[in-house]
Amino acid sequence: MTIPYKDCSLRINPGLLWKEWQQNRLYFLAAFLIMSYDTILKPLGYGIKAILGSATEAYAMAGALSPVSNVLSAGAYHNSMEQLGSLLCILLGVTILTQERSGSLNFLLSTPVSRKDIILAKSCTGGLAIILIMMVNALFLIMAGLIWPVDYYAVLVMKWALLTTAVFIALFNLGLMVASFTGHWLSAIGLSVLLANLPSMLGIMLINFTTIELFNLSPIFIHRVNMIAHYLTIPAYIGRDTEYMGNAPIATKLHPDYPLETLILVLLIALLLLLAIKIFKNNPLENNGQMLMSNRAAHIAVIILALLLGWGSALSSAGSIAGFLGTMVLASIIAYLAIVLLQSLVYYLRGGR
Amino acid sequence: MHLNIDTRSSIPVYQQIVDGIKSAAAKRIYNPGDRIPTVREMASQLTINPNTIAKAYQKLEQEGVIVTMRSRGTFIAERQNHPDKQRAKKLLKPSLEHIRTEAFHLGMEGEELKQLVLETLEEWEKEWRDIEK
Amino acid sequence: MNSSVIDMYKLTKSYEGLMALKEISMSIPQGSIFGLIGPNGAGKSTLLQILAGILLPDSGYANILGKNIRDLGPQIRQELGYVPDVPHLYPSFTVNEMFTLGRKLYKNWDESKCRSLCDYFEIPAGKRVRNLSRGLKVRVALVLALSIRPRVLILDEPTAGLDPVARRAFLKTIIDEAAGQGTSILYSSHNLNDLEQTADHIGVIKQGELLFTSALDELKDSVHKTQVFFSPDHGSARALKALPGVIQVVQQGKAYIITASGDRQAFREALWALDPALLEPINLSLEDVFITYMKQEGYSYDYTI
Repeated sequence: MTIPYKDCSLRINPGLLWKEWQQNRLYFLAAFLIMSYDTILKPLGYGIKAILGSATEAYAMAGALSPVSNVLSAGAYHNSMEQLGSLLCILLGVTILTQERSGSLNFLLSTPVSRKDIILAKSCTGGLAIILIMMVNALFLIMAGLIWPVDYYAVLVMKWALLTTAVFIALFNLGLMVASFTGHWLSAIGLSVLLANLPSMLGIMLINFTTIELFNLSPIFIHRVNMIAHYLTIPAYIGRDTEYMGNAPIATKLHPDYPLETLILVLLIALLLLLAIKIFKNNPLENNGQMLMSNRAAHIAVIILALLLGWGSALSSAGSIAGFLGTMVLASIIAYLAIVLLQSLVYYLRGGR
Repeated sequence: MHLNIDTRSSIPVYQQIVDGIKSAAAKRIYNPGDRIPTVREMASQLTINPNTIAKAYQKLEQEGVIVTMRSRGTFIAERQNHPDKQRAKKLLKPSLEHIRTEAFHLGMEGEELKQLVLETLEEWEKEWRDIEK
Repeated sequence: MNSSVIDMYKLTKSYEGLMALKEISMSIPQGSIFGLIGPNGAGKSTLLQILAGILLPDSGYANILGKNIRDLGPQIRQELGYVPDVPHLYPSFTVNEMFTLGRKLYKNWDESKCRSLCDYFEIPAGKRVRNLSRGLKVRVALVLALSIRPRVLILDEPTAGLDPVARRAFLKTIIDEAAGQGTSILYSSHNLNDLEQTADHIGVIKQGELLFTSALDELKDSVHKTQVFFSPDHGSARALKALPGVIQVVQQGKAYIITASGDRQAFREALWALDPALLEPINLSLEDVFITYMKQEGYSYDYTI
């Protein structure tokens, strides 16, 4: 018996890093331009106009920066950075792996790099690119604050940039992790978006479910479950809006706890990266990473379970037949996808057999 | 030197190479001491598997047709001055017997066959003289 | 020639319940050029992809240069060149960038060899991979695989996309590599002519099973074909079939064509004893050997190789 190869080092292969950068820099540039539309490009446009034209345009620029100020101070969810950024980072994470599936992965796997090296290099390149994008943004916002009258402080910008960078890297790694076991990029994106929002969705389902008289859970318990679900929902770290559950606010994040939230995100990033490595190592790859439904009996069981969960969640909104059916169908589909997703995760984590 | 190799022939390729080099030496296209292509060169020239060439060279070396000197190359061996005639006879006889059998079945026997052998030998000697001129 | 560079033991792989490889066990001798033959879908590519580290086997194991591929240690592949049938490489990279990547990933990268092979194959180094024809991509992949100074070269249907001139150059390069560097080569092919010329060992795969492996010389030696005439045909067919080692007797007009295995000389003597008017050996190509071999083993030779 030979001793199984075990590589615990986290050394990043410089050749792979070069390759990823060479291959994806245009994607990163495009992502930068789209994400920075409200934070850099639009204000810059006003700035140039101000230099060329009247001085009052300077105030127009400050006005152009107001969505940013809103985000920083009050928590509106209205700029290109946060609306598109989350989606773009998932997209980047998915693309960086699925683009290899069209054939070049075969080349890469036949070279002297391990599967771990591949994931690590991809994660690292994406992380660095996101950090770079956010650093440019933060620097611009701080400089803009020095030149023009804006209603935010440099410290706030830095805190915000730190947290947002962590959210984006976490979403990037989520996309990468999902792409490590799904073949097609569309299904990978769909699943990533679902998985990103799954904890809060499940939280809502749980609350709806418990409104059935059978369960008598204490409101404090429900609140705690919701808080946990909320902290596990990566995109929720960006939104500064108060989230309501029925009529009760469940998470007031007007003044986020930056150090704690960043720490949780860093842990999430590490977890997602380890999962991605583990899954990709065990993926036999020949099915082009299909979702797994091993046998019919298991599939039927999953469908019944999903319908049951959907029925339970829909009971609370039994105001009208249409509302009931709509909620039930939606909740069932979410539950079904969630179960299949978890099943695939377990399958690959157990070694693909 | 050019060897005609027919990979589709029923004679194995290494045997064709052995025969080719032996015949080239016998016809004095190659003289003792002449360098012949290395296994590598021969393989490349003919686009034939190098192991096949190596096998042929091994056989040729065993039979004393060629000698390989490390780092200098492969050469046609000196002919033996005092060959073991007994051994030569022993080795040649089955081939002659084979020729006789074939000749018999092709309707050729005795004097006719002797004539053919002599003619063939004369042709060769003529070729040698041509080369030496 | 005694030691082997690749050892496979009961390699098994299935795709969604379909067995692609069934307990393949074989060895590739050191320094040999090993040809893998079989129809499309026989599992050749799957086998080679497992050896190249692309796919994971379900069970069984393979050792390359003494190291188990299951361990996934990437260092095994430092000395393993792999050229797939349709190399994808990186479409957005130029050929030169592909070589830069090779230089960065392989520690034994040989730049001068890479340059001279590029010249030899007339590879446009500045062109993007996506603009290359399939034949050129195969050549780029081969240059990459050779520039790493491989000890083992795995080629999957390498000559399929090449025109005759390029094919000859390709085969010549492989031969040079094997002869000059002692590189062991494992390649799959449909083209028996290529194999006949370049391989010294062959293995035959059909429907995921290894039918047999053999040294090519031995294989060709093992079967022979003879044509005989009898001046008055005294119903010799039966007598012919009774000869030792006869596999098949086909009557074509006045001639009988006999395929047999075993010692040629003894068979000839036995034939002469039947007093034929004419007896001559017929050339037997590898394909003929195959057909008879398959028949002998009870497989119908129902596909085109």
